Amino acid sequence: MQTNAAGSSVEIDPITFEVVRHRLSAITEEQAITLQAVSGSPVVTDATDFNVGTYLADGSIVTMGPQVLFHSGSMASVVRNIVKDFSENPGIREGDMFVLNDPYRGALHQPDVSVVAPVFHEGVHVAWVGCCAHQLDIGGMNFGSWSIKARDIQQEAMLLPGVKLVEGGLIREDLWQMIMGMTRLPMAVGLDLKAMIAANTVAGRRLVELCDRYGVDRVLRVMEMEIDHSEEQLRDRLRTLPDGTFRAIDYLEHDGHENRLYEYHLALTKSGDELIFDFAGTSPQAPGFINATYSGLVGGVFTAVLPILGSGLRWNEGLLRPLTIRAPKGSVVNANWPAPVSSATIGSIWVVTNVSVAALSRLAVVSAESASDATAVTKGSMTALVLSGSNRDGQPYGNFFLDSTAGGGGAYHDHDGLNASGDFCVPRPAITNVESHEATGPVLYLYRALIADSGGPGRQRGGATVGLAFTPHDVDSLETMIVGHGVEVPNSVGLFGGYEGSCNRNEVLKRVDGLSPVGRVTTFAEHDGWQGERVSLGAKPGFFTLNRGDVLAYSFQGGGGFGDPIDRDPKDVAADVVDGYVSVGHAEDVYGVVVDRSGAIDASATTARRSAIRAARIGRVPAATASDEPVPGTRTLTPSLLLSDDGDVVCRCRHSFGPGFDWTARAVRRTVEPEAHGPYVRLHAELELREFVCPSCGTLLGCEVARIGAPDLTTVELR
Amino acid sequence: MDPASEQLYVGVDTGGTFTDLVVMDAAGRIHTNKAPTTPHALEEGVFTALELVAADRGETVEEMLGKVESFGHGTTQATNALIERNGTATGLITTQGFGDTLIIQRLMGFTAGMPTETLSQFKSRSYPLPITPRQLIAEVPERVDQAGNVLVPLDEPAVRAAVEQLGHNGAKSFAVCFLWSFRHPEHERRVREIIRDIAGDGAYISLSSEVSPVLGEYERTATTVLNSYLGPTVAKYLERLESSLQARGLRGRFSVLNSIGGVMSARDAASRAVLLLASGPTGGVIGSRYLASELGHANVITTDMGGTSFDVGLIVDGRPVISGVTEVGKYHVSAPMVDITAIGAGGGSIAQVAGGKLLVGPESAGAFPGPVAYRRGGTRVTVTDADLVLGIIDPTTFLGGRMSLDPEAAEAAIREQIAEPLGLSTFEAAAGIRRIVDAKMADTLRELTVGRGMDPRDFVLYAYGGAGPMHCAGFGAELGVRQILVPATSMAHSAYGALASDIHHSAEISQLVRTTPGNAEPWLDLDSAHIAAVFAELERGCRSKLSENGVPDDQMVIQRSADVRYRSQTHELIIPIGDGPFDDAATQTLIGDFEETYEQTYGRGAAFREAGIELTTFRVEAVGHTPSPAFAVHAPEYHAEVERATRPVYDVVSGGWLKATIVPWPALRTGDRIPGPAVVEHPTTTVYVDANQWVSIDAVGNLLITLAM
Repeated sequence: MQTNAAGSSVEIDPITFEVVRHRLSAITEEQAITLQAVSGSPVVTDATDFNVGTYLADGSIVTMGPQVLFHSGSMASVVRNIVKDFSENPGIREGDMFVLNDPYRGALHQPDVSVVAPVFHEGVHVAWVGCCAHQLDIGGMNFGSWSIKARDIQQEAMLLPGVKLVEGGLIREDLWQMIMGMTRLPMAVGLDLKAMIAANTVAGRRLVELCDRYGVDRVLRVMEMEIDHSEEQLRDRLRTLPDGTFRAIDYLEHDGHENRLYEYHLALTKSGDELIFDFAGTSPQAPGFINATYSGLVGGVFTAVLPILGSGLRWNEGLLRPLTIRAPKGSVVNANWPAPVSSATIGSIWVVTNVSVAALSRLAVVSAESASDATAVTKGSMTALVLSGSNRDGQPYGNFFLDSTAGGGGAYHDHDGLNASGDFCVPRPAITNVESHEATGPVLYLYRALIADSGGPGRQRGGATVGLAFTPHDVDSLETMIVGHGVEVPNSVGLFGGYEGSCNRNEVLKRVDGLSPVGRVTTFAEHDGWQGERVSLGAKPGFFTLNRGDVLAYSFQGGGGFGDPIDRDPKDVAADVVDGYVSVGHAEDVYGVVVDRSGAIDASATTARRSAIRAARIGRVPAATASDEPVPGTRTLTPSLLLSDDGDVVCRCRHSFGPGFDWTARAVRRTVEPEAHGPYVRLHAELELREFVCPSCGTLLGCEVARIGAPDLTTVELR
Repeated sequence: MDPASEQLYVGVDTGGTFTDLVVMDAAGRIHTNKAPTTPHALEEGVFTALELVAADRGETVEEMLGKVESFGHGTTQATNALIERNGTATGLITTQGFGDTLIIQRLMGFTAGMPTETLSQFKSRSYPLPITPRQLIAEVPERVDQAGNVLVPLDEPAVRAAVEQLGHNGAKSFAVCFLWSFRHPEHERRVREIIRDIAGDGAYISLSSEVSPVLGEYERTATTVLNSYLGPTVAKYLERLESSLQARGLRGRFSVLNSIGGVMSARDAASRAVLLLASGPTGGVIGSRYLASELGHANVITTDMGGTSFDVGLIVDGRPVISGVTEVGKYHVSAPMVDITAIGAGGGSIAQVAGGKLLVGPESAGAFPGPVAYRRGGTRVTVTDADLVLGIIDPTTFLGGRMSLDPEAAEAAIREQIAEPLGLSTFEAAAGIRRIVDAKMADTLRELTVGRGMDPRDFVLYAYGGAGPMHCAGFGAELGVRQILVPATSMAHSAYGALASDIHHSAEISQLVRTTPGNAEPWLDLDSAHIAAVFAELERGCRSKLSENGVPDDQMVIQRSADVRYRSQTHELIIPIGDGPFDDAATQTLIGDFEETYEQTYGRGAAFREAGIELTTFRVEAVGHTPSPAFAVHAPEYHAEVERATRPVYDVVSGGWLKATIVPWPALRTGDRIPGPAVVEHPTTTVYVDANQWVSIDAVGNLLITLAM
């Protein structure tokens, strides 16, 4: 195979550069539009669980779409593995396309199927184009290919290592039929594969036209420059940030077999213009499907880096180059073959993004230029819900519901998190209309609404989540499968004293003879009045049957808060009460704001309530008050803590914790019940919730979800 | 004077900066002029423009209006009210359990309208300021399923309580949107009666089953609420304008251009205000369609490049391309509208160097402060500054000399901000700005044509708007079209569209009709009699609307279409249906047309009949033809050979100065064929012709730019 390593010597004027660069973005956009228009699944069209891109011949990402970000990191590995494994036999030729879903060869998990195509110009292999889209079913032991009881990868799903599905421009009928024979939904998978082939065809053709017009060496040079440029910009940005180590820990409950708790440790070290992500201390790999392979780990880290340190930059390979990612082999974030991985995306990869967001935000907030991109964790968990059975016309029915992306967004230092934000890994999300769900399947929704008090409290509030309930309609039963996490782990942690957002809640209200739930269950609160049995499902109930008259209700994680909730402007709390995002009781208990339903604030009662909360935290009347006034001889450590020139950690009230970054040891340290942080915060039996308070002013400086008995985490250490 | 010429036809368009007016007499002669738009009271700008044209014609406004047969109006009133959030406080009544639908917006609200290149900034994603806050949304018990069965009857006492509470909370108008209401409209109709009962007959009420009877509760709710939010404002404005026009002598028909490119009476427009949301830019597309049918151009790309944006529409086989859902002001409106794509590229687009790279737009200096050369306080380089430095704009004749430009300031700004940081000459830098903005526009045009399976070489490109004729030579060549037309009305083309529009009504309804997967002859699964009945019902409604507008039966043109997709897809294609009875043969043709269009769009082999086929929405568009005159044959102002001036113009392709021919537009004669580089100048616009292009004029005064073969 001949490849063109690009004409690095070619000179490009800045105008040609911008013209060709814009054209490359336009090609990627056209690729995404084609894929979405042809695809048969709302997973692609609404939830945008796909990505597209163009790559150099060696697999380096040149352009990527603003769809699910996990994929972008993994598709480069997909291309690289195909080049490594199949260049000689069967060879990479013009008109070929390869299909791959093997997580040990670049995929995230098996349902994410990639189709990549080499691009040839005048007989020379110059680049790649590719697509990746989540498929509704790619076989294996369970419908939907979330193989909850699997113990090795061979049980989980079909495994495509990079098979040449299209050869010389034609779909190979033998392989096509083989794939169609292994999925339970050949119509949907068939449409999606055709969609990916069409999108690659379009992108490949456009790239060739571009080479014809400007010369292949110039186009390749622009691609390289584009990557170099993003890399330089990220390195510049890193150089403005102080060196240091920033840590975060998160947890995932239940591995499909047992409700064990897995730990994810990240120490992010920033040194000069480099970033090292070190996952040492993370739990060993699990016997069940929650593990991530190395490509999943990269996808999870990249997803956090892009919007936080890559905000406003063009996203491509250049933003990966300053990163080093390390994780112990055989850990839950870097599993050894043949560990099962079919829920990696909504399992380990998701939690990798959570800890990466928290650690990167702790870094970003230290510098004035990047502080506005620092964010508390957005909806730190994901729930997959798959329904299957017969449709009302007797045809087979199966769907993957992604309403569960409608959780809450993490708060920023200067504004609240988005209510119904979608996931951090999805820049432009959408959920499906209730009527579309009801038109395509035998379900009837009872409510779909935002839930009060679900957003993590803070000086800036985390976004509220959506909750919903539905019942089978026109059929006697539906097979249901739920896989998720974050029911007993508040993954959406707050930052700098902000609280956690709500936990997930999965419930079944069992049928009561002669009583339709329609019109009876119309709000989240009405579950309490249900006359029948109410079953609280855990994080991974797996498969169960939902019968006519049963109600399935679930809600998601709200976003984490930013800063101490009792520092929130009472007017903002009152506005939340009027809008119904915060209840009157929550406003008083958590925010210390005494307000009625109309939004009228009792100012003196509020002042008194807030003083009482501070006093209760430290066991005495506060001796000092924090202020935002600049303190000479210090620099920022966190929004509420400063680092003095002689190395002491100092509260904004001027209280000194003395030298050393383990200031938590000298703070007022207390463990609190999860309910103290919100009505939907829950804790796994092995976890506790800690608060760290300034002993002088009573400001809440940080919260930590920790394994009982584990040492406090030193979250920020500057050098 | 020929008495027939005493009949006048008027089109007026209130744009963001200017209010444009076109007056045409029965012989097809036109007068145009423009006045600054007056956002606080749009009718003031309209009357100023009327006075200017009346003066041009040597008569009073009253004399002129007295001769007007038809007065068509394209207005941004609805769009302004939405963007400025000064519509009427609207109370929404919806199905219990679903009151947050309009707040959640399917999660699409916080990225709506964000160009892809800005999506990397998560911190800047935000939901729109709600058109209806949560306190003005009331849920009432009722529930209908997808088949139209009532599962929970409407709780009327709850409705009464809700209406009273909403009134108490400040609602002045009402919107009602229940789940599946288009399958069972009775609940919504009953709520209207109850509202009338409580709030009186004058209450402005929109029902989703009437405004937008299509599947998808979020878009339907947004459309219905927007209708009530905008309705009272639009109604008052149109009433005010119509009665002032009548007070000053108008006796002819007054009508308003809607977003699907037809005109409606002021009364119909007032009850369907949401249909006016894209009224402004639609005018240009409709003007182009009228011109295209006169000139025999079946396929046209319409481009309107103004100060801040570049708006593109397509006419395919003589019909403007329509979209079913349109994003306006961060909400999603579910009503058929002329599909217009806008990007941030215009004369005011800002050029800057960032990280050693030259970027142009989407940031804009707008009309204020505008380009550096305007001397209105603008300090940042814009596309217009580059055009001036390159010699394309003559600083002394810009806008007929009404505005003098400062080329030295523009040159200095380009030198300091662009050329020096990049190590280029000032002219190379200016040429670069022009090439980049032209390439961006060409990329957009390519996505809209090639990206949809259409070959730009099959299209004529129409260019209008303030900056369009200055740049069309560049982006047209880049796109690869063979012919570019600058309409004689280019300076007021949207207003011309309002003048030339036919009366239009459309009706649609969602109904899912499916074939069985695996059926190789899917049309056998379709009940043609049932579909025929659905169309017949829609057609009856449209015909009676046209009759109300005084259109005789034989002047009605009915066009049916269906939205079709493969089963389980979510994206439909709109497939037009031929005339004649809808029988079994018609179903087979429909499916054949769908698969043909599908493969044209997504590539040969993309069709996937095995998945089964779904028809989701049925639509009827009814057009009542209104006569308007054809253009008069263009008579050049000079009959003798015009002395053509020349001036140096910098050629962005070759990177050197060329001697361009300068010719006044009115002096061009049919048969003239002038090679580029050339600049054709008109008091209100400048047309640039590239070195390898030719320009000529047709019999009615349109300029044609042809690419040298």
